[in-house]
Amino acid sequence: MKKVFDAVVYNGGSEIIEKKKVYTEAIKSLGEKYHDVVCLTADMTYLLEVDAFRDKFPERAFDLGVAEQNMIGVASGMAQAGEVPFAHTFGCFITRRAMDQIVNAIAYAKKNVKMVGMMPGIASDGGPSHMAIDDISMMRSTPNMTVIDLGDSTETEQAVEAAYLHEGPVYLRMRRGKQHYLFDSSKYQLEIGESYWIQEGSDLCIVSSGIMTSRALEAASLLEKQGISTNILHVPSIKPIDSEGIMEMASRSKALITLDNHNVIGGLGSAVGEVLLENQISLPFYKIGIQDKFGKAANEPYLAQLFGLEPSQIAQTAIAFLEGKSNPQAEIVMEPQIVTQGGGWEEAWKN
Amino acid sequence: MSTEKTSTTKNSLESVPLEDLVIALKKSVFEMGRAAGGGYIGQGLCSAEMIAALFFRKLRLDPENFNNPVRDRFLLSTGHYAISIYAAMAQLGMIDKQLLDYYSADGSPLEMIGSETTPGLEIGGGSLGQGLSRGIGHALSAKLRNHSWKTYVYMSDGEMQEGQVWEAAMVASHHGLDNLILIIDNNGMQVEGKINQITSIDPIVDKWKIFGWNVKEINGNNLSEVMNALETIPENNKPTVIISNTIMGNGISFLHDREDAHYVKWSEENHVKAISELGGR
Repeated sequence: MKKVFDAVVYNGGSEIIEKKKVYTEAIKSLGEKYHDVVCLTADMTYLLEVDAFRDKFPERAFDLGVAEQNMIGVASGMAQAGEVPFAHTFGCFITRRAMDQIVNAIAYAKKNVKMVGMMPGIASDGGPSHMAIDDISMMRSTPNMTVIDLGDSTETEQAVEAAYLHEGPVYLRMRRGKQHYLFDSSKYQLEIGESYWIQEGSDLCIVSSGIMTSRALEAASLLEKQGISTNILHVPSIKPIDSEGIMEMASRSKALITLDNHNVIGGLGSAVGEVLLENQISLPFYKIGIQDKFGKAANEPYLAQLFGLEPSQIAQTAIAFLEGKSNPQAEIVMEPQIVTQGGGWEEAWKN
Repeated sequence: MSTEKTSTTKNSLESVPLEDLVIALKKSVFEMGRAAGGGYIGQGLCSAEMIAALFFRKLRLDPENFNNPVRDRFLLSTGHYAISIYAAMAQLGMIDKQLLDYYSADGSPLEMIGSETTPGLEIGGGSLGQGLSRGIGHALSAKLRNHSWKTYVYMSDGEMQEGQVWEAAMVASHHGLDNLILIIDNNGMQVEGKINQITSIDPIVDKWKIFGWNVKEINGNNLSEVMNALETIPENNKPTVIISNTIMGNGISFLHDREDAHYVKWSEENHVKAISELGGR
């Protein structure tokens, strides 16, 4: 665990700075630096932000059509021949459509392939077919797999090279389009297997990853106003997970809540819960996340309300939990307002 | 084009008649079956001529260094056929002949369904229909880096029922992969019986033609047809598929037309009978 309070540029109350085309630039730069990087896509080169790489290195970019299973097989073959393939599609498709190929051709085969799954959970507005709420669970339970859930632009910039330098299969889960800027890159260095203590408190600890960390910071600032002091542990590396860091946070807190942009079954919360149980650490523990249900085609603010993942709902759930209520997330009334038309989900993410 | 020189050595069996090597390969298949009490013997027999032609004549392999970067790639899409590969590798000295006694034994490196952890095998072929995609990966990389080695993928006919095969078929022809050779063992059988009584894959030749491939159809149990097909792969910006028509359990009367020949138990009685039918030389 690294203590990086001074790296955090967002305090939970201020305006969040957003950055565009983060992955677009990161993968292109990686291609400039390392000539064995090849990019594979399944019809969504632009939609997965690989267009700049393709334009710069057309001979190293392969759009293999709407065929994810074959893409994973081709990635395995190219890796065996010495390339370092980055294979891209939405997180839901790469896992649900090609999981057998990932298990056999990548994981068991120990091939040096990086899989990029975009539109995680509530960051997908395409509905249940396009919403990865189970990808972490599948990838995490696959031997030899490394699973990284990215939460801000600095992490994304750093993760691409970290994944490249890590010999073996890696799953990178990230938002596409605008990414939140939470961490100062001069004071933050993403490492596989590391966790980051980003805010100090004395009552509660929130453990989060990916796009939930900005919500954790906001929820913590709301809790502060209620007199509840919150530790936040940011855990991009879900596998391998930093057990020591989680145990240290548990020792510094009276209760622990995990935040999942994923089904609460099998995600970060499950991983953290396993660490606590296996180490006989007993403290009040609750998993906030998608409570084993499907979403619908809607924008992120709507989905967050629907699942109870708005910062105010997270704070309310945390208070209900600390008051001893069972199943506290169910107490949140989830009847989101219909959000006004945003110009279509295919367009909205670019703006 | 590439200027690389192959450092793969000529194999030690170049001067031995291929017919004799096929017989020896089949005998090894029986012996593995006897040691294990059963195995994929039908597959070992129907593939024997093609595997012999590839391993003893056509493939540039390096028995000293399986991962020699300039080797030809041989990808076994259906790991069940590993039995004949083990037999061929043992004859070439790539694996110890005594290892054959441990075919499919618990803890043995020669697993019944071959995988990356098996010495000499490039890929795992247990989950069917995946080998061609992985072959495309090798072939694309070879084109990208101007390597002259070829990629051979050996697939079984039943795998054509898997959708991924057709995803791959499209991509291979789209990219003009004339450094990729697919061999389909067309024995007409799958686990539950005859393919054309379960879900027909016909017309096989037309399907591959329509997907933009060079197609050769041969009697895969006829050595001269096998050799001729392998020696005449066109280099015309298209991948080539050899439809190798074979007989499951070829040459052994009691295996012909058995609908449950996918996996056979192998008794001492079977073994003795099979050896005598083989006509030892």
